[in-house]
Amino acid sequence: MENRLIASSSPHVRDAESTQSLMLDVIIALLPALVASIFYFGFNSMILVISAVISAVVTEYVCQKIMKRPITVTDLSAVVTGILLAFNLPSTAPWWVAAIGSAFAIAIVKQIFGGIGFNFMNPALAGRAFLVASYSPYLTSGFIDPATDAVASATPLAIIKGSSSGQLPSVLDMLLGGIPGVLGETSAILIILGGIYLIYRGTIKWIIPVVYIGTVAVIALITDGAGMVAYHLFGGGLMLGAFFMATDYATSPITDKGKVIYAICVGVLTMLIRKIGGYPEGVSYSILLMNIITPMLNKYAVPKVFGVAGGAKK
Amino acid sequence: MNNFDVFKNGFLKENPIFVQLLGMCSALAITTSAFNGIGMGLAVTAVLVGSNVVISLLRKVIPDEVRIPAFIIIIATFVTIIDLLMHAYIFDLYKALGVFIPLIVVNCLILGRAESFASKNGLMPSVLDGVGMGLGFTFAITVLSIIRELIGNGTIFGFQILGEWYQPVLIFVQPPGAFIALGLLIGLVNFLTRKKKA
Amino acid sequence: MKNNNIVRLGGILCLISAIAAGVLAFTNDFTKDKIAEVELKASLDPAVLEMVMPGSDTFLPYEDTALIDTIKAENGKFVDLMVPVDGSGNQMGYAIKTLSTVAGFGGDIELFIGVSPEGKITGIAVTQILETAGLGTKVAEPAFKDQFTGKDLNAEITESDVNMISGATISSKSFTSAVSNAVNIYSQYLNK
Repeated sequence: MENRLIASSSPHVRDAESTQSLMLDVIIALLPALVASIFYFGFNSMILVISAVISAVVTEYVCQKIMKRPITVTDLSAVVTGILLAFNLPSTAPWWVAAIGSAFAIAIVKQIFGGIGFNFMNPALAGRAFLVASYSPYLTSGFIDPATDAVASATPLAIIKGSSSGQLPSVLDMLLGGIPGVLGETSAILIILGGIYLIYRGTIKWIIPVVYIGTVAVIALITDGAGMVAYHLFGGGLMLGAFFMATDYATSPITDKGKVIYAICVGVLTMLIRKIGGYPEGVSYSILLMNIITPMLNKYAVPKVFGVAGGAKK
Repeated sequence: MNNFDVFKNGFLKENPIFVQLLGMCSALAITTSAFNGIGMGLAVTAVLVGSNVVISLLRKVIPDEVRIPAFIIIIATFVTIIDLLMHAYIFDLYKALGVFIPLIVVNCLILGRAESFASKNGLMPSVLDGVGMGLGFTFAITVLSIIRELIGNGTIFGFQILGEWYQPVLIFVQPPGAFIALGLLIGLVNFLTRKKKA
Repeated sequence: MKNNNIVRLGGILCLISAIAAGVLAFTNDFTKDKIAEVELKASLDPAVLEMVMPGSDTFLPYEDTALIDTIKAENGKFVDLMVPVDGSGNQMGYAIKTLSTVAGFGGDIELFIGVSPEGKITGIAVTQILETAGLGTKVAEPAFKDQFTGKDLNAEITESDVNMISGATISSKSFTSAVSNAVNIYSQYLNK
C-alpha cells in the first residue's frame, strides 16, 4: 500500500483519494497520544494542536492559490503536519508560536519546494527547528510536570544530560506519560500503539522505527549501561520521531537497504547529540540531517532491477 | 552598448546578488541590519570603482600571465585603504562590519569584474561598470538586510517599526535566516522578471 | 628568452607591489593619528566610564607601564588597565579591559570591567561584541551583565554564578570567561 506514494521516479502519480486515507490513518494513530497530552497537560494542548492545524491548512490553501496549483488541502497532509508540529511544543507555549511554526513548515519547507512529495525535509520538524532558533524560550522551557502540575524545566533527558537537576521519573511513568516534556514526548506507550496501528495498516514499514530504536538502545546500553536504556528510549521524543517523523515518505529512502542505513545513521546521530552535543534531545536534528542525505541514499542503495540479464548492473 | 547601458546592466539586468550570485559571503554574513547592509554595499562599491579604474588603466601594462596576482594586489590595496579610512572616520560601522571589511579582498564580485570587464574595457565604461555593479550590490544587500532586520528584530535602521506586541522571528538575524531570506528574494526577482519577458 | 620573460613578469609584479606599498604607507600615515584618537575616544566614552565605574570623572592610564607589559606578555587576552579617578582626583580602584578566553559566536567579546578598591565589580561595559544581533548581543544588556555587579574578584567567578541567557549559551559563556580572566588578572597582579 505504501508503494502508491513512494513511486521511485517522477512523474509522481498523486491520487488525492489514497493520500487522504493514508493521512487519516496517521491522524487516527496520533489521537490517543493527543488525548493523553490533554489529560496530562491540560486544555492548552488542545489549543496548540488546533491553532497549528488551522494555520497549516490555511497556509497550504493560500500558497496553492497564489501559485495557481490545484488545491489539495482535503488530502489531510497539512493536518498531519500541524498535529506533529504541535506535538513538538511544550504545553505552555502560546498559540501563535504553533501557528507561525506551522505556517513556516507548510509555506517554506513544503509548498515552495513543490508541495506534497517534494519537501526536502520533514515539514513539521523543520518547523520545530525554525521555532527553536526563533523562539527558544517557548520551546526549551515551560514543561509542565503532570505529577505536581507545576512548571518544571527539567525533562528526563535534560536530567541525564546534567544540564538540569531533578529526580528521574520511574520507567512506568515514562511509559504512561506522567513526565514533563513536549506534547508528543510524554506517553511512550500510546505513541507505540499508534505506530503499531500504522504498521498493521501498512501505512508505514517497520524497518525504520525498529532499526532506529534498536540502534539507540544498543548505543545507550554501551554508553550508559542497562539501567539507563529505558530512559533513552522513553524519556524523550524518540518514539514520536521513530514512528511518525523518520518514516515520512518523501524524505526517507525508498529501498529497504537505504531505510536500514538511514535508520542506523539517525540512531547514531541522535545518541551523539544526546551524549556529546549541546542539546539534551537530538531526535529532531538527526532526522532532519538524514532527510537531507536521503537523495544520496536513494542513489547508492539502488533497487535491484528484475528481469534484466546480469542483475542491476548498468 | 553605450555607457548608460553599462550602468543599467550592472544595476538591474546582471545584478550581482540577484542574477550573478556573486559576493554571497558578505551578502549573507553582514545583512543583519540595514545600517550594516548599506555600509558594506558602499564599501564594496568604493573598492570596485577604484580597482576597476586602476585595472582598466593598467590593462595594457599587466601581462596576461600574472594578471590574477596583479589584480589581487590592486584590490587588496584598495580594501586596505577603505579599511583604514573607515577605521578613522566611520568607527561605528567599522566595528559593526569587523572582519568582513578585509574580506572584501576575496569578494568574487570584484575580481570577477576586473577579469571580465575592466581588463578589457576603457576607463569610462569601467568606472560606470563599477558604479553600476557596486550600487546594484548595495541595493540588493540593503533590501535583504532591511527584510532581515525588520522580521528578525522589528526595526529598520535601528528605528522600532513594529510595536511592542511584535515577537521578533530571531532566525532571520541568524545565519539560516540569511539563506531563507535571500532564497525567497531571488525567487521573487525571478518571478517578477520572468513575467515581464512573457 | 624564457628566463627573460620570468624576470619581466616578476619585475612588473614587483613594481605594482611597490606602488601599492607606497600608497598604503601614505594612507596609514594619514589615518594613524585619527585612528588612535578614535580608539581612545571610544575607550573613554563618558557613558562607558559611568557604566564601568559609577561616579568616576575620567580614567587615567595605569602608571606602572612595566606591569602592563608583564601582564600583556603573560596573559594573551588582557587588553588594558586604567585607573578611574573621581572629580577631585582620588583613585577609585581599577578598570580592566580584557577579551574573553572562550570564543563566542562571532569571536572574542571585549569587556571593560570596573573594580573597587575592595575588589568588587562596580560595573561592566561591553566594548567589542560580534555576537548575533538580538540574541547573543543580549549579554550586553543590563539584565545579564548586571548579574556580575558586586561580585568579589578575590574568588572564582564561573558560569554557575549567573543565569545564562537561554538560546545564547555560547555568548553567555564567552562573556563569563572574560570576567573570570579579569579575576585572574586581578588576583595575580593587582591584589598582592
